[in-house]
Amino acid sequence: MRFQQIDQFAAHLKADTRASVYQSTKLTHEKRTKMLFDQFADPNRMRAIAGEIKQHAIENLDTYLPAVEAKLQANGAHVHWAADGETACQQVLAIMRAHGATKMVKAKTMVSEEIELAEFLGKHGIEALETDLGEFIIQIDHDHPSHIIRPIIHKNRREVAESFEKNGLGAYNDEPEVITRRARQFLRHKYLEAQVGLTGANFVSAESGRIVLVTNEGNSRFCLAANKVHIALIGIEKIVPRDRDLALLLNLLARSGTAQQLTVYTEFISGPKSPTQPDGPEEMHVIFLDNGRTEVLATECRDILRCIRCGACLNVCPVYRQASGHAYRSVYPGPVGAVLSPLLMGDNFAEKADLPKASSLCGACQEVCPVNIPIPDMLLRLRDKAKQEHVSSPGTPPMGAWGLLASQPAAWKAALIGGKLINHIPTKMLPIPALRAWEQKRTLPAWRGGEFRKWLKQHRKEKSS
Amino acid sequence: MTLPDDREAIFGRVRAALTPLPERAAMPDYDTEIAVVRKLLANRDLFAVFTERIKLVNGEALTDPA
Repeated sequence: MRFQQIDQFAAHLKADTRASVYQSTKLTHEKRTKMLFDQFADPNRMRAIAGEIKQHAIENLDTYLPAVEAKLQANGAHVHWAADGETACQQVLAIMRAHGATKMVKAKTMVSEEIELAEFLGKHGIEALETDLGEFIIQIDHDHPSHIIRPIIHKNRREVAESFEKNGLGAYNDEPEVITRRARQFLRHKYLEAQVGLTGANFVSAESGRIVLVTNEGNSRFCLAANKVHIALIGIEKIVPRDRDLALLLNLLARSGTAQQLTVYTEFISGPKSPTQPDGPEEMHVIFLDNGRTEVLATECRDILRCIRCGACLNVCPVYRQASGHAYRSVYPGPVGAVLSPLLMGDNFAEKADLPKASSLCGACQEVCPVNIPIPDMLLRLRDKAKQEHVSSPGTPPMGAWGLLASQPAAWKAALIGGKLINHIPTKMLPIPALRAWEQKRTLPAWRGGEFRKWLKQHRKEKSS
Repeated sequence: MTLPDDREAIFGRVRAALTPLPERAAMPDYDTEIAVVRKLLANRDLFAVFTERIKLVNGEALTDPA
């Protein structure tokens, strides 16, 4: 039998990687739950409201996008619009060239990962250096992030130390403090050498045009301190209607993502530096990226655009914990990625149509989502879409026989009666090879077919008498 | 500096995606008080909480405005 790609990946995952992913996600999830429920009177109500705010924002983007554009321009920023990744890359390149810039420092932005900006700029002779420690390690290792907010969750400190040694960042030393100091020493020079700083955004307020960035390392602040030009690369779904909504969303984001009350740094950027400010970028460019988002907006899965990239759904997902992030073959792993990644593929949906099947539909992802996204519902919709589009589904057992029985009441009744025979056959003799491994560790429950029919018959009798 | 720009295309797609919606999600009416950590602060002196927190980050709470 062929298996789903995600199953194949999980089957070959190193045991210590699996253990590290499992432990880290489990711990964060437990801390997140305790923090939310110990500190707030009604966290689930907060999640529901946050979801409604974001849903309102995405369903009114035709109002909010022009509003945010006008505010940003009034604040002194240049606003650009990119329909796809290629255009966004070209826009960044054009800004760099207009300033004769050859070096850029980046604070973590998933959108730039999505459009592979660093690789694009590298091909054009521009160095684009990641400054988030995890992303920096990913970059020097030529690896890919495996978690939305913990990009190197799949690596242990020994692997990081080896990587530093290999890349000339000091002799092997796996002390986290030493690793961090070495990275800091290396990056400090880079901040001063770069001419352009690029960031993403966690939120953009349509009311004020403020761009909100949250980090725990202060690297985004460094990216903006010494450089003359700031480029913010932002997905169009990041809009929130008002500044006051940020109080709710920031409280939920930090607790859901890293189990912190607030992230260490929360920055509100209103535009380039004013004449009275001593430091900061003199020029600010904001690039709003579509790259498939408007296609998602047109589907019944538009709710996924509420996502605030906290990673809580990854931390609680039994599939992610076993398979880790690289199994999803996308910048966006886990349950949110299983929905978003195939949708962002547009006409190439089939390439990632297997991801929505990588779920037991347990619903834990929705229960922890700070914006209450009905992820299980969307996984089902996408499974249906794959079926409608005749996308092959390796690993799915043949359902033809079941379909025949389920559509023929008499055949179904006969099968239920015949099924009772199974109770009298020793499990080892059951002619189902695929179940053998399963049966070695579990006991097959007794066959109880026909109970519903019996109940319905009785129920009708009672009702009529 | 002339940059490629897809403004009209994106706005057009957004409108096309949203126009068929029979109704749009309304902005919820809520009290921002919901995001205040009342449980954490219940029965505690707010100044003491602030002092405690500021010490955790090597800061000092000044008690005398002079």
